[in-house]
Amino acid sequence: MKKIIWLAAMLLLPVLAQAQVVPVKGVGTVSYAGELSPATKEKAYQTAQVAAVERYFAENGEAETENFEAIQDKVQANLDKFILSTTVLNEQDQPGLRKYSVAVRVELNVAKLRNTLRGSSAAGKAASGEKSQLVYVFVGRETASVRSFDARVVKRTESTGAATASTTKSTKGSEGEAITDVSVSTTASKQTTQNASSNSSSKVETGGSVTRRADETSYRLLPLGNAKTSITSVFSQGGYKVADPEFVIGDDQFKAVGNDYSKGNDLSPSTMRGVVGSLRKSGIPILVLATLDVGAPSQDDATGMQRVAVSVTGRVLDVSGSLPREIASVPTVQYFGIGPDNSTAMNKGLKDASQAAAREVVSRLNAAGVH
Amino acid sequence: MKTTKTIVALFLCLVSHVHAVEVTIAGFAFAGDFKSAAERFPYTYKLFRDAKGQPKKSFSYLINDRMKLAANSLLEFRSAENTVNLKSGDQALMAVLVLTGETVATENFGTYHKTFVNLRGDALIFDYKGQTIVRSYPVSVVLFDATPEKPTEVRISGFVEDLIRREDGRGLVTQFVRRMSDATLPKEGTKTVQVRKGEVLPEALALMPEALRKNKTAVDAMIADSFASVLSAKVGISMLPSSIGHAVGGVMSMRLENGDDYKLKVGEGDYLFDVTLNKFAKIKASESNVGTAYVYGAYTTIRFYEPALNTAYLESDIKNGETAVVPAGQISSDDFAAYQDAIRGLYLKLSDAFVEPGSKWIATAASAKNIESQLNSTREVLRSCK
Repeated sequence: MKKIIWLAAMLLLPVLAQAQVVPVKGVGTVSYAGELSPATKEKAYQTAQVAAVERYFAENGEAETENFEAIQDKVQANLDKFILSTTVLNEQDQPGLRKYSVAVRVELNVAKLRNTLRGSSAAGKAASGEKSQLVYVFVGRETASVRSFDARVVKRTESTGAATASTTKSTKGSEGEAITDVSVSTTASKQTTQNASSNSSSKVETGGSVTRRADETSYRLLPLGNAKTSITSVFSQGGYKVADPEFVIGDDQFKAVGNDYSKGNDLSPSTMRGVVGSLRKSGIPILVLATLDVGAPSQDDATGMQRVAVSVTGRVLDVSGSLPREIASVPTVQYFGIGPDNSTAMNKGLKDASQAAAREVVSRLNAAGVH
Repeated sequence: MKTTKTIVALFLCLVSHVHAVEVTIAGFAFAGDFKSAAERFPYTYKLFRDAKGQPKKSFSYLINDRMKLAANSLLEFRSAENTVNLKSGDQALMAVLVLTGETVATENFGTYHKTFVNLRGDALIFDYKGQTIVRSYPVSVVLFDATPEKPTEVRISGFVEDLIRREDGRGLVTQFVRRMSDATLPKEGTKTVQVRKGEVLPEALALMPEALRKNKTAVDAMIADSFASVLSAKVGISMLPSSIGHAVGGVMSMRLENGDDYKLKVGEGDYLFDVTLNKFAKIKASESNVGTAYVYGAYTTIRFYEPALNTAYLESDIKNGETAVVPAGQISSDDFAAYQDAIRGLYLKLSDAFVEPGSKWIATAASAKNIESQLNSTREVLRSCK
């Protein structure tokens, strides 16, 4: 009977043992001296496998690559645990150059790789009691109104003018009479001289200024209820203890946070002081802030569906010291949500973007050695 | 003892049942940008739209109905009416016929009008959970028609509908059902093949109908897809969708008839084909009172290689000629149909040569002197991709 149970178990095993895998290609090249030996081939094979794992991390960004470097030796020493299968695609021996190359496609056990990554991260290594608690405040918002201002134009003209004019007139006359015995003659002459001169000048100076004012944008906050569980899960799996912000941050502070983010991109100093104070009271050292800005929906060229862009910006503050300091930041990254209607596209975009932002924060915290 | 045997038989039954993997028939889909589907597939889209209000006329209904005839011991096809079981296993497999290309060209030859219709697609099995392509079998159907009058839109629409719905091997849905009947799921270590590039050079393009000359991308895709379709059917391998036109940036998007949209990841194949159609040639072979026989030749360059180490297994110019008789007295002839036969003939004969060694045709058709050894290497690689 035992044999039958074993037989059944063996036959069912392949079905139960299915795992989510990611195929990646890798190439390994090894130089050799003398003849090509099986040992050289084996070395190239392993190099190709490691190259495939490295490629997987490289495709996932800078922080991921940095984290991989921390576990590279471990992966290299236990390749068979991380690689479910390896298919040799091509082999090439170049005896002239004494080089042997092999191209492989491996199926990576990504779950195991990620677990190992977490295990060797600062958060993963820390004992349960030493693990940091964190509070995240993720705010989804879309533009509610944009108030644009016309440019304020001031023009000024200054003109000065000067004119001088002078006229002189003089008349000279003379008369004469000559009387002789036989005649009387008279002479008369008149000379008139007239001079007129005028001089005028004018000067015009124009100038002014144009004052432009930035748009006043107000935002409408969006609920992130759908994404909350997945964000918490990303942080928890990353080795952090997540405290529910509702139990740490007071209602007034929540309102203030919402109010600040509905007007701009930063928390006002008073709001920030209030939030930091609440975290300190609860003994929580890490605050993660992220804004997810939803753009206007447009039609996706590839599918004809509605597409919504979501831009994520995030920062992580260590509030345990006397002064809060920024320990990691996620520069603006854009994600796209696609769905048959605007609402579905927006929800998908928000969910994907918030998860991606959480993953990036965890990667950066790991890379920075924060636990 | 009898009890033990019964229990073993029961377990074996259970195991064999578990291994017949469930595949839900998702029906029909347009590849790529759905917004522009009406422009890219004008006739099929119109038929699709007209059938929308009549569920039993829709293409998806037709596919589901015909799939009842598909017998595959490895796969258990289920109608889309059943809910997809997302909990069992890591994969939720779905089968879909994705239309990737529709080409219609009508040309006037003095006394008659010749119409050419080509529909291309992929018989896909994809994983709903992972949004990845598990198996892909290209399908392609062609129809030529000659009429004294210019064919009306309704007549062309009828041709397209016939190509989709007809029950013989020249029907698109029939080809889909056949591919699904023979479909297998990849085993561990199965390698993948893809036609990476299909290109028609200007010399060949110049001899195509004007309607095709204007759209080089469609002609390039047609060359690649028809090669993939023949190769897949003859050699019995799955081919990843080609990256021309409908799988841009490693993503193949499609919309099902029920409005569901998918973006499937299409990785690069392990081994790639590049197909270049260099030129056509028409040579008079013989002349008699009855007519003149011409040999219509298609000249191609075909390369099969592994991209990681850039190793070429097959790299040769390959030509093929097909004879067509033009009746005496016929003033003009439609050369394109004959050229099309020459291309298809080349694909069929080459695929046969991949399967069976000792092809006499390839010895004269290929320019490479070591073509036999190239074919041996190719054959070996393709065998590992089954």
